[in-house]
This record gives sequence, C-alpha cells and structure tokens, in this order.
Amino acid sequence: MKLKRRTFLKVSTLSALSNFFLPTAFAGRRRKEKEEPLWVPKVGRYANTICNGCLSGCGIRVKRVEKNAVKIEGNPDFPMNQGGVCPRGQAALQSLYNPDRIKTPLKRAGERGSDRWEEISWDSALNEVTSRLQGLRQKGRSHTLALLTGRRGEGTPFLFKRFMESYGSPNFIWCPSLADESVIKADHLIDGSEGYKAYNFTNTQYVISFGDVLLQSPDCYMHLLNSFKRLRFDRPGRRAKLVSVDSRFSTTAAKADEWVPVKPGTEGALALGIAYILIKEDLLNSSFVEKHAFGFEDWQDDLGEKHVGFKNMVLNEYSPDQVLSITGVAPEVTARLARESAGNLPAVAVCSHSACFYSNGVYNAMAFQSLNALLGSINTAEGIFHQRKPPVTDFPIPEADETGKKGLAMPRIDGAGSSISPFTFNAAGNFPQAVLSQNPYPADILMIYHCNPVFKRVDSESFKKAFAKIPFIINFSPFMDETALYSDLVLPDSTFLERWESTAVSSGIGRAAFGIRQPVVEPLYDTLNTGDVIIRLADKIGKPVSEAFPWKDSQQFVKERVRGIQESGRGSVVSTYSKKFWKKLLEKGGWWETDYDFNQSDKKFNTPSGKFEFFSQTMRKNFKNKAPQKVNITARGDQKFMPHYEAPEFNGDKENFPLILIPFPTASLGTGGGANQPFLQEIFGAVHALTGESWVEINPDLAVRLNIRDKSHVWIESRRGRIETLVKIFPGPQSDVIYMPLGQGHTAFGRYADKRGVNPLSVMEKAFDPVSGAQVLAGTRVRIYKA
Amino acid sequence: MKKKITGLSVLVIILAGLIYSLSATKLPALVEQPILFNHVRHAEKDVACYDCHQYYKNYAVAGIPDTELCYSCHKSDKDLKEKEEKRKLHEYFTEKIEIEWNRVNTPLPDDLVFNHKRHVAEDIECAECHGKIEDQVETKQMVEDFKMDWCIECHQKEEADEDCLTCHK
Amino acid sequence: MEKAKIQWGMTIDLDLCIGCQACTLACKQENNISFVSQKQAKMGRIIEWNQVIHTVKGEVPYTKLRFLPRLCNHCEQPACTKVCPVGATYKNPEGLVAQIYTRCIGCRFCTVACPYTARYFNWYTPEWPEEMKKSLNPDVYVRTKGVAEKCTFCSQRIRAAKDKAKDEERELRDGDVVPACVEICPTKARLFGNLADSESRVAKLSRSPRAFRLLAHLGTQPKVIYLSERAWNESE
Repeated sequence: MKLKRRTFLKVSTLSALSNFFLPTAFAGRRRKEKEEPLWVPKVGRYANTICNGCLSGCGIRVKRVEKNAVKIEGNPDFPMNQGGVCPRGQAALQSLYNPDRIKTPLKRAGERGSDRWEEISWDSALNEVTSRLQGLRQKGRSHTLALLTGRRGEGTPFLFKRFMESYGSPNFIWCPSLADESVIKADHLIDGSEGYKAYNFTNTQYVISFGDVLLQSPDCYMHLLNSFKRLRFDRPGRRAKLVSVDSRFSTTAAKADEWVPVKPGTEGALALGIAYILIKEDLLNSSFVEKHAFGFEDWQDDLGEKHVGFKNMVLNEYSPDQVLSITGVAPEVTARLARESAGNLPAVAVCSHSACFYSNGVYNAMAFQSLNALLGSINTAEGIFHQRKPPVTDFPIPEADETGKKGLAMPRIDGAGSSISPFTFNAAGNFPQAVLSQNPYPADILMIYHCNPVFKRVDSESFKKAFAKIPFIINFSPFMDETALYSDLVLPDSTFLERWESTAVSSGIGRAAFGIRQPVVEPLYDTLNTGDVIIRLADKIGKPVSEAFPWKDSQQFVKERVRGIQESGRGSVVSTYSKKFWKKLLEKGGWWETDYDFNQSDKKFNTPSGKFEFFSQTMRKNFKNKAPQKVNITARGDQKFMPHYEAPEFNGDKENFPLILIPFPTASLGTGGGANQPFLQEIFGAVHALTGESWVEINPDLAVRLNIRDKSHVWIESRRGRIETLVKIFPGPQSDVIYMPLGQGHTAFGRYADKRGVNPLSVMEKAFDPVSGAQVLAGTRVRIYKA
Repeated sequence: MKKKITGLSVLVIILAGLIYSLSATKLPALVEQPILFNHVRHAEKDVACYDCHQYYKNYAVAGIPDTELCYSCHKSDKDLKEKEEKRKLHEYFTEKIEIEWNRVNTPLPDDLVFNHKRHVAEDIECAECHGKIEDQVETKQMVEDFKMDWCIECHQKEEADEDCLTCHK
Repeated sequence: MEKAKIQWGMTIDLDLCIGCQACTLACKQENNISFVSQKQAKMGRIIEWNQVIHTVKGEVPYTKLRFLPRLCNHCEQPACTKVCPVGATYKNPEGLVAQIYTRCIGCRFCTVACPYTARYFNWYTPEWPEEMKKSLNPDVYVRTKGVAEKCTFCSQRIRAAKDKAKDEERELRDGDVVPACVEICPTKARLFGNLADSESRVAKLSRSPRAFRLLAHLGTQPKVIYLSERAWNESE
C-alpha cells in the first residue's frame, strides 16, 4: 500500500489523539524494545576487593553483570567495615565510569596550567621518564628526585618508597590533606607508636570524643561506626555514655549524650582540666601511672637536673577555674566529666583530626593521650592500643651503589628532622620554600601520586610557584585535577576497581588485616596501574634500581607479598598450598587475624624509657641535637616536651577580622576527592538543604548582630583574599567562630566538580604546626559581610 | 446536532486510534534466518531442546547456541561442504563469526521479567508456550498477538501468582 | 479475604542513624535513579526514594540535630493508591505499595496524595553519560519521562530471594530479603522482614517501646517502623 502524506498525517494524528484519551490502553508504546537477543543469562556475580575511597581500606563486594560493575556492597567478613559501606564507597562506580577520566598518557602541549595536551603512547612516555631519570643519576643528582604522595604504607606507596630508596633519593614526601601528621606525631612522642591507633570498645563504658572523630573519622570511619553501635545497643542492659567535646556541633555531638562546646583549639586544655580532677581526687589508675609511666611525678635526670612532673604541672596550671578562662567550660562540668569517666571504667578519650587542625594540634593530641594514661586506657584491650601489621613478606632492598648511597645520605629537601623542623619525619609544608630557594638543593624531577596540594593545602600558592621552578613534573592522577594541570607528563593510574594492589588496615581495628585489591573490571581505557609503572620504570632504568623490583608486575608483587602471611599459618585463611591460599584470599577479599588478644599486659612502649612518657624524652633529644633555628612554641622550659595548653595562633588582627574560620570535612566529599562523583555532590549539603553548594555556618546571635539573613550571599574575607558563599544560620558554632565545609570550589577535576561552591582553603593563611609540620587548617581570622 | 457530530467524531477518532495501535503491534508470521534451520530434522534425530538451548533449566533466559556449539555436532558430517545450509555453518565457524539469528518471539519489554527456570521447574512443557516446535520446519511465535492476558490466562489456570510485581519490575 | 502470610516491613533505628546517607546512594545505584544538574537540584528535582531528612532545633549548647531516613512507608491504608485513576499503583497481597510504570499516565495525583512526599515524578527522561550506563542494574526498569516512582522495598531483591528459596525448596526465611539500603547501612540501623511473622526480627522490634510510625494519626498504618529513645514529635 502506498502511503499518501495526507493519510499518514491522518493516521498519526488519530493515534496520537487516541493515545491521549486512552492512555492506559497504550502504555506499551513507551517500552523501549531490546534490540539484541539475550544469548547468555545476565547473572550478577560478585568479586571481593578493597575500597579506596579513603585511607580505611574497607572490604567490598562488587556486583558484576557481564563485563560491567553495577553495584558495590560491603564484604560482611572484613573486619574494618563488617558489611557496611559509606557513601564514598558506594559512589565509587561513578569514579570508574566517570566521563572525565584521563584515557591515555598525556604530554604537555602548551604553557603549564593551560590544559593543552598531546596524547602519547605508554612506550614513549615511559621512555622519556626513563631517560630523564637515568640522566639525573648519571649526573650524580639522584637526590633531586622528589615524590609528593597523599598515601603511605602498604601498596603502591610501598613500591614508591622502595623506588626512591633504590634510586637514591631521600625525598619521599607524604602530603596528607588533614592533620594526620599531628595525630601520628603526638602518639609517637608520648608513647613511641608509629602510625594510627586502634580502638576496642567492647567493654567501654564512657567515651569522651575530642573533636568530630567518633562518627566522622577519616582513617577508620566504618570501624568507629560499628563501635558506636556496640557502645549503644549490642550490650543489653549496658549503655555507654558518649560525650562530645567540640567547638562545633558536629555529627558526633548530634549523636552524643552530651555536647560540651569549647572555644576552638582549647580541647587539650579541657583534657588537662579533667586530668586535674583525676589527680586531685585520686581517681586515676595509679598502678598504670606508677608502673608504666615516666615523668608523672617530679624527677631528676642523669645530670642531676630537677624537672617538674606532669602531676604538679597540672595541679599548678589546670584547675577547672583556670581551664574555664581558656575553654569557656564551667568548672562543674569539667569536674563532672572527670568523676563520671573515673566512675565508669573502662573510659576512653578519643582524639580526632579536627582537634588537631590548630597550631597547637600535637599538644592537644598529647593531652588527650595523657588523659587516657591516667584512666589506664592506653595499651589495654579495653581502650587504645597499637594497630597491628599483617605478617607480609619483607623484601630487603639490595645495597645501593655509590650514586645511590650518596643520594640517600643527602638531607631531605623538605628539611624534616633538620634544624628547621626538628621533630618531624616529613614536612611537606617546607617543600615549596626549599624548591624556590634551592636550599638545600633544587628539585629536578617531581613525581606526584594521589595528591592535590594546589587544591587541598593552605599553601597552594607556594606550591604553584615551586612547580614553576621544577624542570619536570610527572603526575599519576586518573583525573585532571588542579595539580595535574601543572605537570609535564600525566601517566593516568587505573582506578582502584581496575588494578592489583596490596593493602593493609592501618588504623582502628587493632587486629592485623590485609586486603587484596583486584581488578573487578578490565581497564576501560589505556591507563596503567601506577604500581606497574614503577616496576616497569625500575626495569628500564636498570641496575641497581631494577634489582629491587624482581617482579614482572604488581600482581606478582602481591602474590609474593602474601607469602609471609601464608607462612605464618594463622588467621582467616590458612593453607599450605600457595595456589589454594591465593585463590582463597581472592575469594575472601583478604586475610585477617581471627584469634587475637589485645591485652598487652607487659605494656611495652617504644620510648627511651620504655614507658608512657608524660615528658617526651624523644622530643627533648631531638630538640637538643638538632639545635632548632626557630620553633614557634611559646612554652618555655620542660613544658615544651609535655602535654600542655599552647594557645592556638590565629592569623589576622582581631579588630578587623573578628571571626575564626574553621573548615570541616564531610562524609560525602571528604576533603574534595569525591567532588567529581555526581551522587556525592547530590548528598553534599543535604543537612542544610543546600545540595552541591558551599555554605558558611554561623551562629544565630552572630547573624542578628551582622543583620544577615539565612541563605543569603556573603563575603568571607581574610588578609589573603575573599570568597562569596551562602549563609546557613545554624546553632552549631559559637558566636565568634564560623565553619565551612571542605571539598568544593574546584577549578578543574571534571564537569561534576569544576566551579561548584568555593574552597575555604583559598582564603586561609599559610601556617604549620611547629612540632609535626602539618598544615594548620584552622588558623585564620576572617570577617564576614553581605555580598 | 452539532454537539452530536463532535461527540461522534471524537468516538470515531478514539476507535480508529485503538484499532491502528493494536494492528501496529502484529507480528510477521515467519522470520527470515541467516541459515534455514530445521527444527523437525533435529527433533527426528532425538536432539532435545536442552541440547541447544542450554540455559532454560537454570536461568531466566533459554539461550541460543553459539556457532561453536552447532559446529561441534556438525563437524564430522560428510555433507558438511556440500549442503548449502551446512556450508554456511562451516563458513561462519571458520571465519569465527557468530550466526546472527533473528528473533522469532516478541522480545520481552524492558520492564518485564520472565524466568524460564521457574516455569520449567513447575513442569510446564516447552510446547505450552512455544507450540510444537518439533513439527515446525521454520519456527514461528505461537500466538500472533503476544499480550499480557495470554500469560494471565495460564497463571489463573495453574493458580500461579497473579500479582503485577511477579512480572513487572 | 484471608491475609497473606507475608507482610513486608522495615524498621529504622533512629538512635543508630548518623545521617551519612549511604542508604540514599545505595538506593540510587541499585534502582537506576539518575542524578540531576545543580540547577535542577535547586528546583527540588533530585529523586531520592530514600531521603535522609535533617532537622535542627534548639540553641547552643542544647542544639538538636536529628536524622530521619524517609522512604515509602508501604502503608496498610495508602493514600496514593486510592487516587490513582488508572490503577497503576495498588497494594499487593504482600503489603507492598506497588507501582506499574507502564500503566502510569503521569497525572501526579499520587505524588500529591502521599503525606510523606515519598513519591517522585520524572519531569525529564533520566540521563546518564554513556560511560555510566554500564553501571545500570539490569534487574530494575529504567523509568521514562512522565511516570511517577518511589521506593519498591527493592522488589527485584524480593523476587530474587523467592526464586532462590523455591530452588532450594524451602520457605522464605527471616533475613533472606535484604534491600540495598538495609545492606549498606554502616551502623546496621535498618532491618527488613516479615511483619506478619511474629517471630521475625522486624516484628519483634515493632513491638518495642521505642517504636513509632510516622504521622500515625493519619491512619495510613505505615509498615516502616522507626525506633527512637527520645519521643519523636513531628511538629518539632
């Protein structure tokens, strides 16, 4: 039949009209019919791997249908998360399938930062890097290679560390975005531990959370959430009390039984006030203090010099009345917290990153730990102890050649451990200045791994200036972030769902746990696991670097790495056959201790005295040996080495800049790494119904005083600059403090992150913790006015 | 009078639309296939449904054999290179191309689920829904108009679950 | 009519909920719910079958911040099904308030009728970048423009659990069906199960003195049961 135009129109109008009148009869018209037949069943299959959303390293199960990953679920057996997954983990598929991924190696084709690139092959990219690295070595300048890394520990960072050492450079520079250095440093100085702490709340009756830690931890989020459940509900008839000491009404404060607001940066002083009552009323755990602590009572050193002990220092300076003037907490409250905690043992004080955002971060954290010591909660099964490490195979690095030895003997470029930063092992904040002044030496090649200092640091300008001085910069980011823009070569890493990597739980759970990150989908693009890149580079550079990497790829490395675990013959996976062991490991998603006893009755501490040190001899030794040029600590004499209240510094004059600006990370965007995932953008700001926006939280009284309306636009101005954002009136902060969420304000990083909200770090002044070298995130005064 | 005419024409429009929409979904009786596959011949040689459609006992879909499976039976045929249809199969296999079978049955719309396994487990014979395939040289869909009431009728008869969510996702 | 032996229901422990919104995202990923641009978000067009509602009250230091995950309550007496002119939404024998998308004409009566604002309308065809389409769940229909949608209690997972139980020739057991939000919850604040079975965990919790139902005075008889130590006052 020939269809005339007229007939066709008639019929189509008729059918359109009839569809309008009788919608239900033709609902089928909407069905999109499948074009391809179903040859094979679409069945969901699961593969276990390890999440990389944050540092926790939770076990996840990825549901695959055919070649695609369609859902992320928790691995119910994995000890860190026990089946749960946080929003970051859930949204990770949007990182894998992100349309803005870098799909092939890129070579700069314009000015740095101009975002003009030429696509090149892996071969030519690796050849270029190899010839440059070989050249540097031949010139005997291997130490001028530097690495900025956002991660450390097991996995690719381990391979990097090995690479730097075998190549002959001391410059493995850890550059975390929160105050991790302070948290770790404080523990190291006071009880000799290396790395994060573990918490066991099985029997705990009383928890004081200093800062937003219990329900917002950046390093063992899921473990602490599980612990929270345990404290509240898993023990019929017993319900632990949870107290939140925080300058902001945080998530932890919201779920706590009591919120004790303090002035920002004075959390440590309150801990010492509590210590005062414990000492004064003899509520402390005297057996721990007598047997396992150093520097509690007054003491005399080898030279006969007399020192005031922690006890008398606290009794002299931190009575609840004195603490009131520092913290603003009523003396009755301080005393009550002390008596309640001593009356409800086991009691634990938990230290957070957010309480270490200030210039006195390390001393704050030391104060919390000394409170734990007085309560007898350090290194016990019912409190805080060291995170154990899995018994992985250790591979000794072959002896370096002359060039390598010479390079490793050079001082670190960031001055860590030198007279500039005597107490640190790592000082990313000094790096830009060192590069600019070429003191101790210039940096010739910089590698950047998992690190975005241009976005995540208060000294981003310095980093940008420093980059201009470095001849060659390599970045391994899978996304074009703010820092990658300033590189000469981008070697895109595969996302964590596409690569082999070994992981180890570094915090929180206590028992050792090892996780295997395995590719659950084939790499989507021409990207390469950075672990493989390191191994290939080492091979190309040749001896002696290649000798440190006897593996053909990262999968083989992981296989070799787990041999030690297999040989230990204990834990969740046991087998004498390597192949079977490996298969079981992959099925389970990892290995962890099953039979464990956290009780460390010997309570050995890795300090000079072998005890918990109220007076840090490590710190004193460093101080004496390194003859510091300038360390910005106000305390004089012995107090420098003891937990004390050091007034936090806020840059800017109080007259013109009356408010203190404090940033906070969120569970959705973290510090900004999640900003390119649209799901996370959608839930960001839901607490104030400000989806995907930035905002500033101000106290209702302050809003009245400044005549600012809710959700109106304001400027936040510091000496460094100003940013415009929305106001959220919220009875969370006190009236002289304002809070802004981290994570927004990207100027690159893909379509979902770019140009959304503002970055509070961009108005913050450059400052560092004098002890740990961590960047001070809460050290800037601002003013606020209507836009 | 004018009102009547308007009312009548609206009715006519609706009816016409209805008839058009229904007729538009009718299926062609036979579907052309790249190879003239003969179900009758296969049935005569005691090849069971399951030998080729290997998934229906355990999965939602029945599955269609891939070239390799077809060839694994036919590779020792003496007339492999002589008979036109077998020669085609040989070509598909040697060139490693999957035979692009055309669908005989109306594809299931995206919002529906159908599980072969469940029906097979309830001892529903293939022929109940597909007709006597072993008697058809070229297969065609059993019902010309594949509609929901066709499924419902059986579900009612067998006292199976009739809730919408059983099939609508 | 004889009452079915299954009445699906969920309990949500508000004392454990910390408002992290993992449930919201698990739901979106499982059920093929797309995301919207920031402009659309400002117009309130984000679709979250499971939305965490935050309420802030009080003054420093007596501030109260509460989290309430709100989803379809699968009411015993649903307001939405009664207003549907075409029978696209109805209460099924197992107590689910079901929604048959292809039958929906997009009149949006149900979205208005629902006192919990748990129903959403697709103003546009949901969109994903080509790459992200790979992560769509084949077990869930991708809705089109012009239909209403809401939480299904992950009916695809109920179907799968029943299928598995039948394969193993047994009845459904407590804990066989785990919706995406329940599965993901970091503090395990949620449970899902059969309220008609008085021995199931949800049924036991529903008898707890902490239990309450949202807007109970409306007589909708929700099957999502919240648990809270503090009295929950909705006007608060």
